[in-house]
Amino acid sequence: MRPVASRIDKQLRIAAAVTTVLPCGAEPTAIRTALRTVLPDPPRRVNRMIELALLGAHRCLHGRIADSHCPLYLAVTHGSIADNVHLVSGVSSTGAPPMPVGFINLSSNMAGFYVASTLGVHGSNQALASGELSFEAALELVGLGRERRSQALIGAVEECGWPLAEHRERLALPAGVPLVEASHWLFVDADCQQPLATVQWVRRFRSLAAAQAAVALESLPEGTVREVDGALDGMHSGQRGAYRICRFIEAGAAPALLHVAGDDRAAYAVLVTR
Amino acid sequence: MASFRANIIGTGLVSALGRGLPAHARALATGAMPASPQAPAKFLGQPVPFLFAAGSGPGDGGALLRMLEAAVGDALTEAALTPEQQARMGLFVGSTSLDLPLLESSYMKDYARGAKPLIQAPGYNTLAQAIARRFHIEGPQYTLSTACSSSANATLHARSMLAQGLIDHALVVGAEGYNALSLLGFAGLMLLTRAGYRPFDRARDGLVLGEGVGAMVLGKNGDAHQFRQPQPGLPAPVIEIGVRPYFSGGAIIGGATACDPTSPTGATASRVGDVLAEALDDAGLAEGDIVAVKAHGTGTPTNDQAEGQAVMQLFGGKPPPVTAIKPALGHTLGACGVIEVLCVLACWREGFLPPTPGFNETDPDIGLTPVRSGVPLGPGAVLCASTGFGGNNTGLVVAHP
Repeated sequence: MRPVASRIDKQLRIAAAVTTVLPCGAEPTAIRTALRTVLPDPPRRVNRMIELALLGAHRCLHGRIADSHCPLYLAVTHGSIADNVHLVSGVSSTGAPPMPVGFINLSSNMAGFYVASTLGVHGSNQALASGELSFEAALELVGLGRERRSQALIGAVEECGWPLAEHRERLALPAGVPLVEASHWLFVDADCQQPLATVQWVRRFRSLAAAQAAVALESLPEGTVREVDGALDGMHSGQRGAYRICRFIEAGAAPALLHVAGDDRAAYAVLVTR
Repeated sequence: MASFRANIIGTGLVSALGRGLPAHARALATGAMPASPQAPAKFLGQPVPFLFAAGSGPGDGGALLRMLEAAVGDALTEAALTPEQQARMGLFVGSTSLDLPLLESSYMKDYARGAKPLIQAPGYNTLAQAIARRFHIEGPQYTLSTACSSSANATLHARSMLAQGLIDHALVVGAEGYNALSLLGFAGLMLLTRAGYRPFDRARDGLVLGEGVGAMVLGKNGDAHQFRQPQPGLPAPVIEIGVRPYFSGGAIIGGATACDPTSPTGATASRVGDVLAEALDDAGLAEGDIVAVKAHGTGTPTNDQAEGQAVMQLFGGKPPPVTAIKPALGHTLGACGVIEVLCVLACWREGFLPPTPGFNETDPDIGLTPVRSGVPLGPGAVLCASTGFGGNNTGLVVAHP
């Protein structure tokens, strides 16, 4: 059995990275005002998932113009939970059709569509999931370079549904555990002359134990921060990688980050250097 | 990458037309539409039809799992991989409703018996995990949810990973099960037909939804057990489907995808055309190499116009034979990319391109006349289009030998 199931050694130069985290309180945090600071005329009649994606992506690019063919990958685990609950319960209990806009917005790739639309890009728009490793899988697929483009936008977005007690019950989380909504984005550009950091490689393993054993043998830059699995307060497990990479870049201290994460069927290791 | 062939070495297909490729070829050869589709809901007082797979029905969330079991099982059986190969293969699922049929069915049962209903969180990877567990697949799992192009995009990613040697085999699954939300959502958008499904027809007025699962096992160049009965030359139109197939292989040899950011629900001819041209380029082919086009053909006024014009422009006004098969099995949303590739392959293996059910009169604004009866189809490449909400346009190039 091969210990490393897959290795992508193509470097991804990170030109921009921003993490947006909204701690959840009794009521949903208003996003619209924050969104207007980075996107003065945001699309109307969009749902919270789309707003979160727009906020994170536009904060990440911050006025930078992406190539028109820039592909976009959005890593998701649960998607638009609030709309799903609202629309399914409405249809199931009344038999009446959902409101057209609400139904359209529920489509998994609609967040990516609005990000692409407001950025003026028309590359591939992929909503992607791989259990709790969706973001790492997105990095892996971007590293494949199927689109043959120098740039890519990679996001990881999750929303919560209110009331939070029900949301926790849905996700089988303990009562009272803190929750956050988040929108993390990386903009990678092979032509970037002064990248903030570089994803050196992405490797997939058959288990977390195999990943840990393999990376223990790796020669890593001195001072590399090792972040192995583990929960982050309130952060959905599918967002750990994106959050850690964004925070590593924002902190600007350590020379390298080794991120290792796994679920019950696979694990990934990602090396990012400054 | 340009010439990489992802060989189709295993197939499984379940839809309103039955189970397996020969059953689909037989049904598609007739050019008929199902006589009396079930109507599980009403909209504006009118019944809303839906094309269920055999044994399925409204509120039966387990039907999706049974379709997966049948289609994936058939594909893996045909591929005849060793247990080790099967365990290592990559799994690529494309779906737009994902596990919604299961969640909806569970909620409805709780609601009906008066229990406190709780809609579970949609799990984008739930179907992939179920397939992996059932069939002991331990390789990487990816779920692509890009509306009606979902499984076409899953196919593209599978081919990329095969091409780069990251996996030896891929299982690509397009899956879509009945759920009331999608049916009523499309009804509310006024996208369902009242007069009959007729893609590209001047009088087209919408679509009928359907359900199904298509599964393909893809292997790399050199996988040997595919062309079992090569018979060069143009075959006569099929007479006895499944008795002596013309060939038994097929390959995905190219593809492309892009987002049309101009409308969340509509397509534009230029963007669709760009993607189809890019798919040809990826396959290393020119327009003249294409022996047929399998259109997405939703039957909606604007989408057919954009797609039809794109096809006409791409082929300089003289396209090869074009077919659109959704009237026969319904629009299977995110599953249609794989399901319709398999439908074309099913007929192609018997030597014909299936007709377009329901088509009667050419729309002068498009100028495209799809085939009304089965036509002989020999070796070469077929261009398959998928478009979807969120501006997702995808093209796949399927070839034999």
